[in-house]
Amino acid sequence: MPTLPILIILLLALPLCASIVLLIFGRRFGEPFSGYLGTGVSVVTYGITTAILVTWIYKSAMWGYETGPYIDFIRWLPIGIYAGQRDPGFLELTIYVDSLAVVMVSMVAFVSALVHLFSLGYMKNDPRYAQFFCYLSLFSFCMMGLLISGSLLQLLIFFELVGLCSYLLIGFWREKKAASAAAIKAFVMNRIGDVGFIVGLGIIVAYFGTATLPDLWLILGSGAGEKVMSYGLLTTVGVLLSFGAFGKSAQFPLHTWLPDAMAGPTPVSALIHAATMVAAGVFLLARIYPILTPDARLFVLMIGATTILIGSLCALAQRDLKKALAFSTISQLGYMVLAIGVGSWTGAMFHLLTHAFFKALLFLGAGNVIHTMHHDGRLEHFGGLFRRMPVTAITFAIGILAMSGAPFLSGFFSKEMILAHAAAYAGLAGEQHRTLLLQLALWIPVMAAYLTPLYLTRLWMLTFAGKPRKRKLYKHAGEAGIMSFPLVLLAGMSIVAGYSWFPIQSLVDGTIRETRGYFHAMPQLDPARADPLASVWPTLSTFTETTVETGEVAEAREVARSPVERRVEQGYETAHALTGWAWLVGIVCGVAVWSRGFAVTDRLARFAPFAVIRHCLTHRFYFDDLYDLVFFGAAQIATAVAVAIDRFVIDPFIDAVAKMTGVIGRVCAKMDDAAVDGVVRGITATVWQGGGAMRLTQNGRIRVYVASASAIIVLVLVAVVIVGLVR
Amino acid sequence: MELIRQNLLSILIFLPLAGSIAVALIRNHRAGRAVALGTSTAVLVLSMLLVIPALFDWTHAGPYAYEQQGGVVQLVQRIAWIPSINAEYLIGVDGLSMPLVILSALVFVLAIVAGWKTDKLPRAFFSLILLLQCGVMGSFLALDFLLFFVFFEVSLLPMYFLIGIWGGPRREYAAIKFFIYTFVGSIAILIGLIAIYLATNSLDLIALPEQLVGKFSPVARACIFFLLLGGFLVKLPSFPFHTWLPDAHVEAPTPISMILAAVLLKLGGYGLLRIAIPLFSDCAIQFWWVMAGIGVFTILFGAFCALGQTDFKRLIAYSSVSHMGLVLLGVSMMTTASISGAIFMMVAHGITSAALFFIVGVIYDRVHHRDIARMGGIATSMPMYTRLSALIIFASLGLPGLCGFVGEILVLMGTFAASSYGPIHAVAPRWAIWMFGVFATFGIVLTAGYMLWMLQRVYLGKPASDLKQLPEIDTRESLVLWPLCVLAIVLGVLPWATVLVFSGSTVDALLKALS
Amino acid sequence: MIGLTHYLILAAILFACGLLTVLTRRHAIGILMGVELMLNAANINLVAFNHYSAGDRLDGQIFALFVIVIAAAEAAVALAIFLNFYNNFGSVDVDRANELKG
Repeated sequence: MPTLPILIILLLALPLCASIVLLIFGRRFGEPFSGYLGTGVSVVTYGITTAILVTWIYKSAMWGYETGPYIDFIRWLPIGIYAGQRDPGFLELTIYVDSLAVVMVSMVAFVSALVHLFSLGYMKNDPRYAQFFCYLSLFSFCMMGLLISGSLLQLLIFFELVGLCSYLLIGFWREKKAASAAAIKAFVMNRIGDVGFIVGLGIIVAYFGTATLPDLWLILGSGAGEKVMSYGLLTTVGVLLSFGAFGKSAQFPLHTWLPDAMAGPTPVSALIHAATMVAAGVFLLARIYPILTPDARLFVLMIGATTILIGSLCALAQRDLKKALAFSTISQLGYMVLAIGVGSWTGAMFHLLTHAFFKALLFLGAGNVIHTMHHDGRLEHFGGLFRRMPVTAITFAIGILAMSGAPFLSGFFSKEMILAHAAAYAGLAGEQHRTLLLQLALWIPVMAAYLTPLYLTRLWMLTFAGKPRKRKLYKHAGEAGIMSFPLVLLAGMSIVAGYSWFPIQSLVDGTIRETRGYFHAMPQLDPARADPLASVWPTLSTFTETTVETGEVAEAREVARSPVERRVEQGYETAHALTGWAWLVGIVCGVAVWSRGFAVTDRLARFAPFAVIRHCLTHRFYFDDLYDLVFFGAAQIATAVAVAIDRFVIDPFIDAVAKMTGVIGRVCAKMDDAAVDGVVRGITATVWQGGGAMRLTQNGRIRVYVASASAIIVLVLVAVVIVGLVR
Repeated sequence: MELIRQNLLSILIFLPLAGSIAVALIRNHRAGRAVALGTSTAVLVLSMLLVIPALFDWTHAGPYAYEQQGGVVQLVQRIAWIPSINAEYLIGVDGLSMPLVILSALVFVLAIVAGWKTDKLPRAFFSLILLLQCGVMGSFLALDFLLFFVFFEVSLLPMYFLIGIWGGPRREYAAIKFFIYTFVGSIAILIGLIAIYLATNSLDLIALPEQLVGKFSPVARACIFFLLLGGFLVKLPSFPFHTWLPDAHVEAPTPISMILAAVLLKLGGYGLLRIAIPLFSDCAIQFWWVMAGIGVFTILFGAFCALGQTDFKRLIAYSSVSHMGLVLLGVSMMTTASISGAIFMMVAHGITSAALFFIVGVIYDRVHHRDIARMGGIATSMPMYTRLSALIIFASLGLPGLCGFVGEILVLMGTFAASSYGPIHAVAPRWAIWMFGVFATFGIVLTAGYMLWMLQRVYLGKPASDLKQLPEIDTRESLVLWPLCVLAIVLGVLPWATVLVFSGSTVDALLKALS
Repeated sequence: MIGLTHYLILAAILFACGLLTVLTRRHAIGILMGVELMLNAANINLVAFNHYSAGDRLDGQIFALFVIVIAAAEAAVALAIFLNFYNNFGSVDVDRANELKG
């Protein structure tokens, strides 16, 4: 298919060119035009992704998913001559397109186009209007590059690049100190995650000499990996690689940057920090899934569960609309990470895609509110806005329903799938008498399923219902058409995205079939540890299609799979039973508690224990303060020590050496003066004085000369005579 | 053409010398600096000839190449110099020196443009810069140990005067510190040189590795190796020999800082790769952990020191120290990736550090201090300057797509790869190599930390009243910054076509010789 | 019988007188005369030794004649010096001629 590479290149080139053009000429283009340019390009990009989607679906329909992904390589970095590689000695850049990439690209382009549209209204009259659209286009490029990555190196590259866009956009209002501080925090925390990723990448390169994903999958799948790398090490590598995902997806130890990142403009929060970039972490986990060992996945699962807990609890008590939404994003990302952990690969990707729509919807709705309230996001200042902005309120409500898992909306399907798989996982773990902690893989998401509608309803009630708490702001509130239109589109998507006829679920499922060889690789790695928990849980739709296969293979697979199938069906039943009405329970409770603003909760807060809990939740379990104290403190101490070593150890040492040299020099000079020169001077003085003495004899008197000459002659003669006589 | 081609390297070395003399003799200041600029530009253009594949074959030995141990050394000129001690005028270029030669040619042009408005003794200033260029070019191109040493020293003296005369308030202290540090290093190298000469009666750097086999006792070999290592570590500089660098940078004028960071530091890394490692490969393998340990410690130490600075220029000087630690780590690991990474890192750091010091110079020209605490909000008054600065800062902290990343990732990958490939993995346990890799990787977090913190405090935020009306960078300043920014991107996107294609065969040859 | 010894004793006495004259006189001419005495003492010795030990050869006499000639020349030179000395110092007292004192 020659069209596909061209489309892919266009997909990358268009946003990049747009951002470069806007960077250079943005100021000259001025306010409306640069926005139109950026938006136009994003819409065209979406058109291209649709073309890719159509091409891909057509291809899959024609030849089936077994044709596999489209792969192209460029040699990029030389790393020496290693064995077992297609292009020896190079780390490669790749274009790797499979169904997942196709559907992700479409989703990103769709949300991006709508966010561009929204920004036309939201960023009106901003002094750096053009710059904003430049950054958005740059982000589109980076995100597309990330999604078509087929090598760990390229994933790292685009991870950092989307991190850059995130940095630029969080700190967009650079005059606000909090914004630039949050931007730094986001970048640095992501880099901490990337450290893990780079270390994992390094170990993989050291062992396999390649970072290209299909190669790695093949090596591990063929069992060759087993010969070179121990199970424990492979687990470690998996955990290290996941840290990159944890940083990007704001998972437990590294989650604190995301709420702060809300200091950026709201469209950015919708696009980057809710729908796309933060989900890239989960995307990464999906890409390295075949590399993750069961134990590594257990780790991922624990991280995901912890994050769900933290995110959904903190979301309950946030005072800021966007921060509450940020915590809900954290908890939903936790869902996806947990899904990866329990083996629900399809569930994670499915939820990622549906979540993108309703979370973008919620954020854009929040953006609408915040925009009309003059960039004030505090819930205390809202209230009663339903009458002023009905479209926003209704679409927001749809988003809430979708996210809560109300039936017939997209969130229902994806969430149900994750819960069902989690239930299947927990059930299997129970049968195998594994530790009871594994049951938390089911119970924590179930608990969150009740909390999610609760905190979302709280937001809606406090924002749209009740009486306006800030009259002055309320009076001027309203909504603009250009900013409401994206909400309506997103609300529509939030409703339909989950159905099986919509090309999301089928493509996610298709990915598994395209890369089936890789996805069943792991259990072969270590037969002793072959673990049913390690396999990918099938989705319901795959059951029906297995009958297409014929012959012994199909039968064998059927026999092998039927218990798994049964288990998944049981899982669905469990999930239904546990959370079928959770959305309604949550919403009813939420309406009951927050129908009169903060009145009920404030009264509850008079009880000391409740107040403590609320305080704890509002302050996000004090993670930020803890990190400030520990890591910032440690860094400061290390800095002080390093500077002190330089200033008080090395430099004084050098200066002392210099001084010593001076002292030694002076001593040497003295020695020279006294000893060596003294001898020389002594000789001259002696000669001088001797000369003076001799000089006395030279008195110039001729008679004295004659007398002395005579006397000497006489003396000599006398001596000669005496000598002669003695002889 | 053929004549130029044969004598190209000699022209590269001695054209700056001729220029230096000419500038010193010309009476007129304006004419003098024009001659200086012309000379350096000519050198740059001539050095670019090295890139042309039709003239010089970088993947295979060409007609003028002479191959020893597979190394592709080209354009060799060999003339007897001091026959009584076998010293020759022996020059040549290979993939190791070629990128550095072009880098220095470029940096000197930019430095002369950056120093265009020097008022104090301008002719002497430009004359000394050209003399410095002669020394630097000679050091990179010499293949005779004594010749190398002579040029190495030639580059030292002009630097002393350039800091000592045109520097800031504490210039004399800084100049003397620089001189003494480097001179002590030179003495260590000289002792090594003499020992090597006495053992082999030869100074030919290409032939020496073979001639030195089995020449000394192991202890003596180690001693000489450490002497050479120490000598080059001073120049690199790495902990604990680094404290001359911040002082020298803070006191040196902008163009001199650019040259110092971008070119002179590279002599250290180049010396390690050209002399210390090939000549005593067994010691280098045996004591890899010393070099790697110093390298990793330097990365972290330099980064922490940078975090603690309030002086803009000092911060960048310490960032140089940190980056040079990465070069040392790459050199010590001796895999294709790590050594290619070290070479790339040297080139990339040459670009980013020159740009960073120029950036500091630009801001210093406008506000006349370098105290980060008193800056802020410069983005408002100087948007273009801020954009270019941000680009360079991100290049320096290793953002993918810009030049810093390639060097960093190659060195790190090479470090990890050393646990499976290359000469180190035979002598060292895996976990030890990985620990070095892990600590070095943590350096990138710190780098991001101090660079972004600096970016925030200098450029972002609300401008103070005295920073609101700063003039935007003028044409001359753009002329310096733009080429560096473009190079930062080009090198980051096309590392293979720009640097690694030239260094590849040399690195392979070096590694073949090591194992 | 008068022998060589007698001549030698005479010459010695004469030489001692000359030496004494040179040492004691301050007048330049007197010193010159003392010198002449010593030269003549030497002449006596020369002639005497020739007579008693050389047979028929006349070396000693010839030497004596040379000495006489040189003495005359010396006297001429000395007198010229004295004249100059007198012109400069107004006397011929040799004790005043100490300009070469070291």
